[in-house]
Amino acid sequence: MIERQTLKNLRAQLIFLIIVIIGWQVMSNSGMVNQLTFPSVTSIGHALVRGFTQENMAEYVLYSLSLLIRGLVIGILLAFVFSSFCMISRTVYSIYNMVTSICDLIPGVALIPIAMGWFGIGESVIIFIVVHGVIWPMSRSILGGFSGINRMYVEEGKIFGLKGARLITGVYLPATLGTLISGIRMGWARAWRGLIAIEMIFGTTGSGAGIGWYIFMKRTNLNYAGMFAALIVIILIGIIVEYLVFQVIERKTVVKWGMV
Amino acid sequence: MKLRKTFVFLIALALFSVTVLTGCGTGSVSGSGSAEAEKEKTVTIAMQNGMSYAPLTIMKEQQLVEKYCEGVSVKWVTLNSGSAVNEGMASGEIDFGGMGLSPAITAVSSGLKIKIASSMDSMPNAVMSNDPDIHSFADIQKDDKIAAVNMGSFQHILLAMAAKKQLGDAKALDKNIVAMSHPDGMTALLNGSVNLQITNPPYLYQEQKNSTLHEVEGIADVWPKGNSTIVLTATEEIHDQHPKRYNGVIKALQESIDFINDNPKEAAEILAAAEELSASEYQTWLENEETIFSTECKGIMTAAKFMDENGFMDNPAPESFSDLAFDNVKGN
Amino acid sequence: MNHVRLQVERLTKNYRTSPDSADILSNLDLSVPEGEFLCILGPSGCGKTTLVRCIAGLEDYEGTIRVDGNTVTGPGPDRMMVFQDYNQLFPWKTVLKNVQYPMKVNGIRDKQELRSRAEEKLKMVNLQEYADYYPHQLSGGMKQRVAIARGLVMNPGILLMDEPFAALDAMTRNKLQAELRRIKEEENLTVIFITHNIQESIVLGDRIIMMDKGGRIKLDERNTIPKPVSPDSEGYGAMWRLFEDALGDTGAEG
Repeated sequence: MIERQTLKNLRAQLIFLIIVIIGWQVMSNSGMVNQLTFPSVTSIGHALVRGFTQENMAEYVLYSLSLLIRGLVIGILLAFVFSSFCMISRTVYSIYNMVTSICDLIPGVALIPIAMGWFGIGESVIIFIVVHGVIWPMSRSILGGFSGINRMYVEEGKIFGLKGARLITGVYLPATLGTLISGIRMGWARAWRGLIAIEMIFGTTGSGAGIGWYIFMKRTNLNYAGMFAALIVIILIGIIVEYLVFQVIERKTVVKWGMV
Repeated sequence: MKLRKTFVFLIALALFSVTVLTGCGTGSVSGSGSAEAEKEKTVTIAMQNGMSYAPLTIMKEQQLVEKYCEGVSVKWVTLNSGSAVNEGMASGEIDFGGMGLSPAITAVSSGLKIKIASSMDSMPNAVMSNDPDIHSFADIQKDDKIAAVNMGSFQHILLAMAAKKQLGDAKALDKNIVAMSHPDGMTALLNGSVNLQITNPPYLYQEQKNSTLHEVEGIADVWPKGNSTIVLTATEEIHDQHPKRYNGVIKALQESIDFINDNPKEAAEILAAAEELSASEYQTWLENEETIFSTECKGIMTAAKFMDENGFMDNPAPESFSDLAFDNVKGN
Repeated sequence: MNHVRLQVERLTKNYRTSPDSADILSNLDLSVPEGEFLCILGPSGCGKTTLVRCIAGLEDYEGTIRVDGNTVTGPGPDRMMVFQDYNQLFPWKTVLKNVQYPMKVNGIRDKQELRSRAEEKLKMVNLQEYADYYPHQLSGGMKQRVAIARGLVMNPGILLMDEPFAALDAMTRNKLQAELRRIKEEENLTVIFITHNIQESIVLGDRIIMMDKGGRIKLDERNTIPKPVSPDSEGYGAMWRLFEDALGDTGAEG
């Protein structure tokens, strides 16, 4: 029953997409719009192929992803370290909670000039901004997860003889994994959006250039088809991360454990 | 059933508010005639900040367009890059746009229906360095950083031209470039977070006075004094369909440039006031022999060919000067 | 005279949430010998859960609690606890891993030993075939049996049980009571079992204590009815009435 409904939805979504694509193509070729700024589906397709075959789009994407992953890992680790300190006392918790609430309000892009003053010019600035994008929502979900944890699991852990760090890795982490995954998911989404915005503003860093930069170059060239091609790549990456990373992780953990 | 009706009502309400708030439908539905008439009477000119756009600032302050286009209201917009000006022209909002040479060439080659309507000025560009070990482009190492306003900016093209000439590869320095506005780049150069900067006046003149910085020769060889750096573009629409307004703006620009060349002191006062700078210093910049304001184009086909041959554009370059500039424009 | 497993003296517990908050437990004395199955009855709020939590080391307290002569200062695997909540098993571990986990925590690394000891306890609760299941795939009664197996795997001095069968249906509950009693005999367990169900306490307990609302022991009776106990057993009615009347006096409504 459920599967049949899913299939039906999938079919409807596919038909809708095809209609949009056909409509787009017709619209673009109709002469009612400026074909430069409203490129046809075929020219977007060409731009996409050209991007990968002639312009090393894959390299741009991989570079962006490498920055993102480094930032994500650092951000998540820091969030864990800080959040673990919060387990020490209510005072630390309340201070860190305040810091999180304040810092969460600052858009990463607004920090670029300051970050450049601190870290100079280079990848470290971009990573700093990615870390900023990740660490606060991640801290929120860690703290939220830890304070919302079923106390019984913690008490059982203590009865078994767990203390300190072993209690955190043995009980807190697995018990709050669902919340943690949604925190990482939120952090990733923010970091990814922020990263692209920063690449477009901050430009090349001397050692490489990412997908945001690719869009910027296409903008310089007034190549709207190229910009749409880059957007499609960004969407595809989002879909891949959601379905091949997060949903797989969830299926192998919290779904398998019946925790959702 | 009732729920569905409510939804339909809400959607209709939302669409209606969007239409009203964006001002989209109002003109086309109720007053298409009056909107058309209003467009008839306006000309929109986009400019950017800085000394390179002095002719446009003077035009604006002295209301020269109004003088040559009677009954036409002039709308000025200030944008922060040639790309942004091009986007405004693509959307049909902007009739004339001041920009660097390379965005103008790129726009024409990518099929945007605009051409160069006049040159505005020729500004010197130079690479400045704070590193005593760097005397030529060959001394630039892998981890040296060069500040330039942007990839694809005219400064980037100039750097590539010089790199090609000195190092044999137009892209040799691309990995060294960091994108920074001229003032940010100057700060970075002075505090040492970059080693080099390619810049233009007035920053260049300020940096040349600083004893800790020296010039790395090479740009003047590939882009000699007098070659155009900043141009005014216009849409084909305004050129073909509204020749009166087109010609009025061209005349206004000529008068503005003549004014700067003939009365640098007065021009400096106007320009300095607009940018909150000292008028006497501004005057020295205007009078610097390397600062040339002229409507005559010089070198734009050379630049277009270079950009085409070295992969700076996704589309082939315009083939002839007349593809790149309207027929009133003199030069090459 | 059996060895004294648990010695509680002048135990007082007050959460002190306000200056005039009443004692949950006041000056409670209790001694449990090794191998005794002690049932603690009482109305809600009488402090019976607080008492086992103090013994488990999950609460601080005034007075003395000693297990095998050692003062209780915190939780430990010598006092395993089985909660009422079905979800007490770690959902991220299989049944087998859940049972093995206390051993792993306490430094048992040998795979062979981990497996054989866990399987032995699972067999005891008739769940050896479910070793690789995750807790959410089991029924409530099965989960409680795994929790008992896990509670026994460290051979604790005392097994603390806080109304473990209260949320089960009557049939499952009867079955688990019989199993628990059997295991108790096999292993000579010392059990402290909290319940509000008089029938359950008579079926399971060697000794039954009833607490009143002030956190004091009101009745302390030996249950001499021979096991297995059924409502037809001799003395069952009298015992039941004794506690039923006492429960009425404690001010409880049920």
